[in-house]
Amino acid sequence: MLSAPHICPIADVPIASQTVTSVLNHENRFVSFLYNNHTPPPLVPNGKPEQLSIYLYRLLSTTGLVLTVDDEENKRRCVGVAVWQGPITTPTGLLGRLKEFGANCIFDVWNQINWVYYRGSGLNHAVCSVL
Amino acid sequence: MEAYEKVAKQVRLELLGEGNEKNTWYLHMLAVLPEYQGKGIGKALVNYVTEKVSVFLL
Repeated sequence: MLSAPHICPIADVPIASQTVTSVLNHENRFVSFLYNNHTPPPLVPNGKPEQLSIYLYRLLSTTGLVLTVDDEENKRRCVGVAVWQGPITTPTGLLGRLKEFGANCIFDVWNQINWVYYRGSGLNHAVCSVL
Repeated sequence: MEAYEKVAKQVRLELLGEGNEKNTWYLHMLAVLPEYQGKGIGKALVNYVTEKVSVFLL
């Protein structure tokens, strides 16, 4: 029994990342072309589920929508994932702008730490090495 | 990459019309595990948004 699509709970983001990265066709040249040339960040998806998770967390905290479908019968979560980007709105008021600025700073730093941790190797490197 | 972005921008403009780009929902990723494919999961995930908004781009 499959659940209806719903917004991905924060706790399920790592599982959603795992689903997306596991179904990527790493031998597809188009995938390589797209994901090897995305600059500047967000590097989407950056191969490692952890890095994709950061991107999804950021989307959920801004105008993004991460939808998932669970298999309730077999208790498997996030068997289907859709990542939507909504219209970008300019936050009104000082508090809104500060909140957006703070969220972006935190995720940027987090992304950089991950980049250093993986020594810059992500999907791009993995895809290019099989071509 | 520049050529790709140029063509993509032109296609977006043709599809959406002038001024609509900022109101558009974009589908960045759609993934369904292989053993669950063919069960309408992808369709449901797309319909969730397309039934609620008027301008979207896959």
